[in-house]
Amino acid sequence: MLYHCFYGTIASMKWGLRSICEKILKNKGENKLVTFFKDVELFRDFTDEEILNFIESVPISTREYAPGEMVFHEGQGGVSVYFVFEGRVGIYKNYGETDEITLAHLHKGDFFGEISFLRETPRTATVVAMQPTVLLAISQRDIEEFMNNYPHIAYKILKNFAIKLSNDLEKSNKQMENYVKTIHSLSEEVEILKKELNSCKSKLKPSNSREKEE
Amino acid sequence: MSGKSHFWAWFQFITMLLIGTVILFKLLNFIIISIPLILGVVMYYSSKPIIEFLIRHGISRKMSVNIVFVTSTILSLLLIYFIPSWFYQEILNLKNKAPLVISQIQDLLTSTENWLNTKLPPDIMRIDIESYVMSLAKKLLPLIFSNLPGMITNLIIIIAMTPVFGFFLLKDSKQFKEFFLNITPNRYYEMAAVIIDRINKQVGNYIVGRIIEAAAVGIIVLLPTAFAGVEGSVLIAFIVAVTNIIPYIGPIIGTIVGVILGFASVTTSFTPIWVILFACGAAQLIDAVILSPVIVGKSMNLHPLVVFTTFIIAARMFGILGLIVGVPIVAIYVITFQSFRQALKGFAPYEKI
Repeated sequence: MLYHCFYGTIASMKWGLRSICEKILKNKGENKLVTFFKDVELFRDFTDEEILNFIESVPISTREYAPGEMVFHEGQGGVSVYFVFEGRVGIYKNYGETDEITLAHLHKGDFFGEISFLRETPRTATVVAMQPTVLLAISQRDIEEFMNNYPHIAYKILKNFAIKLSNDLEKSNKQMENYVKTIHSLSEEVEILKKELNSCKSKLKPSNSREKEE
Repeated sequence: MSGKSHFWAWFQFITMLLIGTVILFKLLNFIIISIPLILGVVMYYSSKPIIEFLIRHGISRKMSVNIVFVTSTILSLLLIYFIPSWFYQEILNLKNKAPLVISQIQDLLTSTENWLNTKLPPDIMRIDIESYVMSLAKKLLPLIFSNLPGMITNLIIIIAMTPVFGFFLLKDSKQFKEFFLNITPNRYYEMAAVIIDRINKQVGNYIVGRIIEAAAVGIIVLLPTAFAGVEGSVLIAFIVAVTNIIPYIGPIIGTIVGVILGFASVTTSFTPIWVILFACGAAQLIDAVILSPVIVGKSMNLHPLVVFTTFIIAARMFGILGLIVGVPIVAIYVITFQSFRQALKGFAPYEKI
């Protein structure tokens, strides 16, 4: 009887300690996530409480990738948004083919997958882990559900999505501008070369006719 | 996805479904656990819109879940306080009126039997419905009355356990989803996320639709029967509403049980029986024309052959419980298959790189 009482007390103490430890660890994990999400562009202007609300309401899947492992590939279905928690990923067009283009390298705090998330279309690029990487993935429906429940936060999320897309657009525009400038300078060079070629041709023509006469 | 990858995806999916089915079959044998669990799932999906409504009005998620839990617990306590005594009274009332009900049914059966026998040629075997039904009733009634205390105890446990299951499903649904997604291999993550979302949405709509449909049918039956002063109109409406969940034969079972209970009100005329028949008919008409297409939608309609096969297997394996939950469970399986197939279509090859 005494043994059972003693054993019961020890077991309940163990259980109590374990639940306290679990709670502390959970709080620690949540704090870590709050600190992480505060630096993410999508959560710009969010208060700590709003981020905590987000973390508590939305299922977040933690995914680990080895170097070279693919997160998703161009043309694949899927509507999750990914946040780089640790490591680095590369975004590619025509990955593994001769005309492969590197679009960007993303680091801790960056996010991707927003185009398929917003347009519900297949993935527009391939994403590959470049080193041991940890990503946090959130599905579209969970974010939508969260936005339905918290309309004032939804506004901020959509605004930040728009800011991210406009930044990307600005970057693309700058790239395009550079390409156009390069094309212009190249065409100018081509024009100069054409002129030189023509002058060379005209110089060559009289000498050729003299040779024929002789 | 290539053919090989498709095959593996289907193989893993079917294996998981089979494991789930085995667990479900084992659970269904323990009524004390399976019914509160099923009702807990129903509570989870039906109270989700309420929680979302509370969240939208500035109450935190935790608090909203607690409010729903406290409310459902109070409701359960009220039900535990009132239902057994009410149920017991209804049954006792029925037991007291049993001789009258039996004699009424006996008269009706005798007249039907006589009418049938006059219509049939003399050389054909005489129909003896009365003795058959009476022997069946004599076997069943003592069984029901002897099991009554056990039934009421089970009912109390079920009512008490349901909010507990519902509460944990509501509280930890995020953790459950995270767990399932975290154990999914990276290459199947996107597909798994889409499938879980789709199943969640469709099953939720189906369950909420069915609850609204059953409640509406119950109210449609309750109003005319209560107005006409039929005894036990609440019990009749409740039985018709619950049996309405069973497709095809559910409304028939509900009507028959309702009519049998209605005989308790029959004194000189058969008006209560006509009122019950009218109420059940009207409820079915409104259900078929308005409620079902609008609330449940046609996507969930199973082929009659599938439904009847399910009835036979589920009723043989799990009795009345199987009859009630069999078809919704098969419908959920069909949704799962459809979602998986659709999700698989949207996933391009992974192996080419």
